[in-house]
Parts: sequence; C-alpha cells; structure tokens
Amino acid sequence: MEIVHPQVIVAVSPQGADPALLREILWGLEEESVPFRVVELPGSCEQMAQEASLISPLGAGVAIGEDGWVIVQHRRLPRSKPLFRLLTRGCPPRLVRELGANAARLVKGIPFKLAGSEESR
Amino acid sequence: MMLIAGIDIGNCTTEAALAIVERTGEPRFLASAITGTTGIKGTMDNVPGVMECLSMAMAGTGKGISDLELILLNDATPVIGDVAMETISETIITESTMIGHNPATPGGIGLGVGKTLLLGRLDEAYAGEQVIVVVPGHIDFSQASDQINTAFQRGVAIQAAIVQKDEAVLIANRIQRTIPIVDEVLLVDRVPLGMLAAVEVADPGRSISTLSNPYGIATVFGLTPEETKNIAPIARALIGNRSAVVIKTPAGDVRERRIPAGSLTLIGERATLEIDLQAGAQAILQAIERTGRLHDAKGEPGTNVGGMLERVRSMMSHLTDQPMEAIRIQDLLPVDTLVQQAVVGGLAGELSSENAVALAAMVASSRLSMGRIADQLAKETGAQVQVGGVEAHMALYGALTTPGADLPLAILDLGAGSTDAALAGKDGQINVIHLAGAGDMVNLIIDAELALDDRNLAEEIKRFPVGRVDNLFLLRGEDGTVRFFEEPLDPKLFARTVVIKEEGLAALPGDLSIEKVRTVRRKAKNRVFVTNTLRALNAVAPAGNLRLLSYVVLVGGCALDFEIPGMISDALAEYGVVVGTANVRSSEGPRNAVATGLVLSYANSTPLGVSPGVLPLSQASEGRG
Repeated sequence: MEIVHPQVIVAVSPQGADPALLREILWGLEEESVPFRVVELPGSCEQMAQEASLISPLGAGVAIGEDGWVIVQHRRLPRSKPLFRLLTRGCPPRLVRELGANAARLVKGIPFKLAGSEESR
Repeated sequence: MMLIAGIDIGNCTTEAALAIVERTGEPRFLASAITGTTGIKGTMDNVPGVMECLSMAMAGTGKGISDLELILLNDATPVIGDVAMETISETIITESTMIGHNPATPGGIGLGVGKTLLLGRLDEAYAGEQVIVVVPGHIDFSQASDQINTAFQRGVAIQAAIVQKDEAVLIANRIQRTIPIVDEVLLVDRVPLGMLAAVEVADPGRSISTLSNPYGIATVFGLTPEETKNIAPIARALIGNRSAVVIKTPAGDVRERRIPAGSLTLIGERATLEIDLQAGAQAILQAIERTGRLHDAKGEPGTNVGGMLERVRSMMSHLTDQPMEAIRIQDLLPVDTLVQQAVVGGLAGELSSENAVALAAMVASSRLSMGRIADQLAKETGAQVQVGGVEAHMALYGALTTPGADLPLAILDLGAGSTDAALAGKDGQINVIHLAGAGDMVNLIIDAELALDDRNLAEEIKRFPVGRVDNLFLLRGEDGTVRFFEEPLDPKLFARTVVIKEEGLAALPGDLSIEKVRTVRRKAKNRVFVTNTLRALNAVAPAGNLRLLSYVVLVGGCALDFEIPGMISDALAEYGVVVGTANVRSSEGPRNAVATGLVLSYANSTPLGVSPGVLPLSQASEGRG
C-alpha cells in the first residue's frame, strides 16, 4: 500500500528549473515547517501548478516555469486564476521565498505574507 | 386638503414623511424617504440633503415638489456630546529591556540564558562562555548557521539566538544543537550587546512559562525582591506569547508610572462634590447621581482631566459659537477602559495594557439656527416652511403609532453624541432627558481597546458582526455559522478576522481574534448603551421606578443594530417592561418617528394634544394667506 504523505508539491519542468528560484521556494516552505516534494511535470507553468495542486494531498502546489514565472496554486482554484503569480526576473529573492512561505501558509491557515503582491501592484 | 412634508434633519440621516392633511380627520401618509444628512446638522449645507429626501419621497406618488404646500422642520435636540480619553497609567521600559513578540515561526525550543553577542564577533567568545548570538538582517541564515556551528565546535556555549529576518527555523534546522531562536525582531540593532539576556521559545501550541512569570525572571537573573517588583510589568506583558526575549541592562529600569489624573469637581443641583479620577468610573457615576442634575463640571487645572474637559469646552464653544466660559457641562459618562499602548522602549512594537478613563460630556447648546435653513427651503420649494416642535415630543408622537404601544410610553433614542429619553404619561405629561455618551463613545472605546487607531474601522466593528475566513471559499461567522463562496476570496482576507459588512468583508489589522473583537464590542456597548438606558429611564420614570414604566420603544438608527436591542431587553427583563424596537406607522421600523410626529402634531392628531411651537391647523391656514 502506498503511503500518502501530506506534502506541498513543487513542480519543475523536465528541462530543469533555475536552481536559485527552487532554493528560495524550498526555504520558504522549510521556514514554515511544512513538508514538500519536488516533482518534474510537463506543460506550461499554469498547467504544472494546477497539476501539482491536484497531486498534493494538501491541495497546494507551486510551479517554477522555464519562462521565469512562479505560480502558487490551490486545488479548487481555476487554472487561469491561481492564488499568486510572480515574474521573478529581476525581482529580489525574498519575494520568491515569500511565495514558498505562502504555499505553506495556505496549508497552515495563517495569513499570507503580502510584501510581494503589494509591490507588484 | 393640502400636501405637507415632515422633515427630520439628524446628525447622520435626513428623513421625510409625506402626507395629505384635510381640515378634519387624520393625515393620510403617502410616502417616506431617508438620505444621508449633507453637512453638519443645523447648517445651510443641510438643504441639498433635504431637497434630495423630498424628491425621493415624491417619486412614485405622482406629485411634484411644486405641489407641496407646507414643510415642517424639526427643531434640533438642544445638546451636543463629545468624548475624550486619557490614560492614567503608563509602562516605560528604559534601556530597552524586553522583546516580547510572537513571530509566526520561532525556531528551536527551550530557555537560553547568556550574554548578548553580535554574530560577527563570535570568534571573540571563549570556550565554555554562555552567549546569546544576535543575527542582523544583512547576514543570511546559511552564513549564520555556519558561524554558529564553528563556534559550537570550539566549545562556545551558545544558548540562544535573536534574528532580524524571518529565518529562525532555517537556522534551527542547520545547527548542531537545539537552542531557542526568536526571529522577526525589527529593531535588532537596538538590542544592547554584552548584556545578560534570556530567550524562551515554547512548544508549538503552548506559551512561555519562565519569562512570563516575575519569579521566573528573578530566578534567571538573580534579582532582589525590589528588582522583581520592577520587572513585574514585563512578565505581565509577555503572558500568552510563544516566544520572548528579556535583556537585563545595568540601568535597566521598567516602571509602571501612575500619571496624576487629577480630580473632577461636579457642581450639581443638590451638592458640589470633588472626586479623583483614579477612583474609577463606578465611583464617579455614583457621585454624579448624588449631586443631582449637573449644572457644570470642572477638571483640576494642569492635570489630565483638566485638559480633557478644557478640550471638550473649546470644541463645544467652536460648534455652538459661544464663549468658552459660557459652556456648561450638563452630564458626564465615565467608562473605565484598558488601552493597548506601545511600550516605550520595546523592540518589536510590543503593546501593553494601560488603564484609561473615557469621558463623554454633554453640553446644552443655544438653539441651532434652523431658521435660515427654513428660509432657504422656502425659496427652493415655493412651499411655506415652519420650524417647531420639541424633537423628543415629535419622536413620541411618531413612536405612538407603533402597533401595540400605548401610554405611558417611554422612547429611547440612542444617537451618536447623546442618549435621549422621553416619557409620555397617561395624562399627556412629557418628561425629557438628554445624557452624555452614545455611539461615538462606543467607537472611542473600541478604537482604543483594540489599538486600531482608526475611528472609521471602529464604527464598522460596532455596526457589523465579525468572522474569520477559514479558507479561500469559507467564512465562519462569530456565531459559528458558515458561509461558502463560489468565487475565491481575496488572499488578503485569508485566515484573517474580518468585519462582515453589507457590501463585503474588511480584514482587521494584526492578529485580533474573533473572541477578542466580540468581547470588546459587546463590553463597550454594554457600558455605554445599557448604562445610559438605565440612567435615562430612571430619570424619566415616575418616582424613578423602572417598574412603573409600561412600554419602552427604541427609535433611531441604533435600534437597527444587530445586538443593542437584545442587550437592552436583557437589562430591562427584571422590571417587567415591554421593550422593543419601534415600528412607526406599522411600516417604518424605528425610522421616521420625528418626521411622522411633525405631521401628526400639525394635523392635531395625537392623543397628547398640541406641542408648543407647531401651530394647529386652523391658525396655520390663516397665517398662510
């Protein structure tokens, strides 16, 4: 019998992801003490994020696209309207880490860190 | 047969009642309307609001403003209220001795005691030295954990860490031993270095036990009984936290200072009494009762209460255009509150509860000049305009149209600035009272006790229930009811306590819990509205005996509040009084009482006879010519 681990799923494309981005996302999750697993998934960043959220027993997924986008997605949200999306090119690493933390906070049910979404607006 | 309109210009809303009056018989009401009052009550700015209200009432009746023959305007309640608040205790922490905050994710577990040392100077520590390492924001967690591990290997006994960024767990996961780590300390550069400090982090779901206990702090730092007394406020401020830091500095000195609040002189009908503000709200209220109806109140010059009453006086003199010496305070309502104030000397925006007294004051105003408004209205409508009728009498006439209500009838109007009550006895005799303290004071208390610093938000908290957004699609109300949403809620609202307004949800700042907001809100309403209801009814009831009242109806906007009528009903339950929200003309609810009363009074169609100020129909017709 397969054991289902409560994890946030972090999706990267089979071509690999920017290691700096992936690191920040994972640190964000780690600081919040929420377990995670990195998987390779095909498709666009939106597709990857949705797929990741559907695989995750916690219903939360993060996708790092090849195009520099990072998307945080929840199982019940439509593919085209994810919870958070951020174009990471030229953006400070702490905002990327914040997305990881927010994926964790979505699971924990505590208020999001919103420095990133304030600045990008 | 003529078309007339009763108009009630209130502090917040302007109401109209449109009716056809025949020479004999009862007026036939056609329509009602309500709009927001434009400008400050009693000024020319009110006219546009009245015009809008009239055309709203006209819509659908087939009549136009030109058909209107007479407009009856209320004479405003002749009182104005104001509120003020002063703290009477203050916690000052000199030489910054405390960090007591609740970062979302502290690291490690336990209690660590040692000297504070900057991370960069860790190599200066000798083997076996007990230190608490301070990590400033420009150093990232991997660097910090490397240096901490190197020091561990040299045998330095690092006891704990204080970190500026949100990286406590990341550091805790990368170092060789478990030590308590507190992070998100904003002003980390203000942490005194080389000083003995203690850091405590509790298990998830628990709160700290040593640093929230004065004897715990005394044990850690070896304090004398005298010193222990001084740090007691620190311990108290840390209760309930998951993590905390306390630093002992040589000059470290925390005091709870009592501010000389001053004394209040109450000059009343029966006696003149002096009472210290420190005696508390209950004692002041009793003193006000003993003095009888107040003629004036004065505060001791040079003290908090002196300044407070001076401010009220100058505000009133500005509003009423009277010299400050002529302003007489006719009623006071004191309320004890706990105010959340930033601790002087805190490092992460810590708050501490301070005692404060809120005072509402009421001043009799010379008649607001409705005359000029009447002239302008006459010009714009072409109708004749009459000002008149004591507002409370008009409200009584209107309230009497509530099905099931009868004489003797008491009305309660819980407004913004004052609480007004009037009683009409079986014989038509009318008693009126105005008391200080109403909606504005509730806002003041909510604002201060929840540390909002936003009076508009306080008003919303007063008016609407709260809830918590449990997830992106689910809102749980304060009563446990659950509401689902088709569209996901704004991420800003996620996991937050929100005010459930008619037009949507508004997140409350910080980590206010539903329970806290609800408790503060209900306590504030109780201490103002219920206290004043009892005071007001005692004042108008025959022989001051509430049991002799039969019917009490609530009028005005506050009667539409979701919990105030219930609270008042509870408070009056033991007196056997029928109390409830008015339903003016069986259709208007607690609204439109004054506007309706004006029309009824004009048509001479109330059981209470004719009010002074409004001419009976026959004379009015002659005057119109």
